[in-house]
Amino acid sequence: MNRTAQEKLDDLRDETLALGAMLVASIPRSTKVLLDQDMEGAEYQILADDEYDARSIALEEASISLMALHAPVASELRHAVVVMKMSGELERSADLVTSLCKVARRINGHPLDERLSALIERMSNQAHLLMKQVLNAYANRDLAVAKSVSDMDVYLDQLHKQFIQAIFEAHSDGKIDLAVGIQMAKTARFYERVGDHAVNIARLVEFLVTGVLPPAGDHHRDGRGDLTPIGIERPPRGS
Amino acid sequence: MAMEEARKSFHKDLAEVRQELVRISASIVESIPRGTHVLIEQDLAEAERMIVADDDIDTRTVDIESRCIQILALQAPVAGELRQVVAALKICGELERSADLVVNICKAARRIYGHEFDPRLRGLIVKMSDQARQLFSEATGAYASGDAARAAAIDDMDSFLDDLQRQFIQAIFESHSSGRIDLQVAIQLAVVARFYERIGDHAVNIGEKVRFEVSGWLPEHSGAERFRSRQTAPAEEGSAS
Repeated sequence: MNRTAQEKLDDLRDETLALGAMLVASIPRSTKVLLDQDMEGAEYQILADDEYDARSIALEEASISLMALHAPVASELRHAVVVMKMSGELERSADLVTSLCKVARRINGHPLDERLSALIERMSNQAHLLMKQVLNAYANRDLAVAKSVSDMDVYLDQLHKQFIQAIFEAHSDGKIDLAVGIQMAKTARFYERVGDHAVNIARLVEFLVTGVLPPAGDHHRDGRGDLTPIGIERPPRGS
Repeated sequence: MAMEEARKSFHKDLAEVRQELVRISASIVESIPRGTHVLIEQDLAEAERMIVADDDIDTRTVDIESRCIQILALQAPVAGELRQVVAALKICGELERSADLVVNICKAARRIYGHEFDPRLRGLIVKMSDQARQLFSEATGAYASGDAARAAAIDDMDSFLDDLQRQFIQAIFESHSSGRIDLQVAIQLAVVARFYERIGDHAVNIGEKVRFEVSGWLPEHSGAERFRSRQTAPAEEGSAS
């Protein structure tokens, strides 16, 4: 018997949520690898990412063939489009989380001070929470939760700024050298970008529920100010 | 007759989506050297203009996304035509993010305002910028003409940009250790190098979408390939024994 589009969509949703849950679990795990400089754990996480790539590609293909075979309309069409786009967001997020393990390898043997470690942990917790929330929003088609994700991302951006400041201070106190400093700045951006992907997914959930595609690029829309927090305040001029 | 009319307007829709994406993409190609100029000349007024202009790209990509979804709903395309719409939907996201990266370069320029950096670093920034621009220009051209061979070549070109980025990081270390730039500028520039690198990555992704659109080819991500080969490896061992 031929399966209906709705049945197939249910499978796609389950697989999307399964990949989402793997991603959510990998965030604290990779952070622990980084903080403990656990080389064996790093190796394991890096290998596991290959399976993640394979599954997210398969999910994308399945959503495209569903569109081809069933020509869904209305909310089913929206769902197929959302799965297609979400698979890419999840895959890229997983790559970023894997990059944390690659950083762990590069800084192996250079211990981080407590303040940097604590801030990494907070960024990780926040990125973890964002992803978890947005996946719940998707699972429950919960518009309110989806909309809260972008507010939560602001806090992650603030942590990112604090962290960059902490890198400078750790360096001027002689605790880390430039090589580690650069790796740390990259690390901060990895978490920040995981947050951005969560915001992108939230946008897809909004679309799924309402049928209206909200504007992208919110992360620098809410003001003309310096909002991509790479970190440094502009130097005081003339003083 | 009505059917034929609908087909005609469908083809017109597809062509218009492509034209608009090519226009947006071409404007990004042009914005890359402008962003680099902002960074090197520390031109804050131009930085401001470019940051504001990005809102326009955001709006235009959302319009195209909505239009693609409408096409899917109204026309239910299949095969090559479905692939065209899917590719357009995905390219929207790539363009939007690439434009953000150019804006990030302008924002970095604001943060290092007033700090000098040496000619060698400037030279390497210009090289990375040229290379990123060229990659993006190739991706735009490949998409405009639906040229899968041209699209496939982009990936190889990207490795040159990756090499430049590594050279640049090395140069940052040397400048820093000889006291020519302080840590804040060093880190800021290291991040800028990644912006160029990621613009190159988006160009590669666009190339992949072109190949998908033309031939149904989906990127066999190297990771996915490695995974499959590990899956089959034990079976081969088993059969040998």
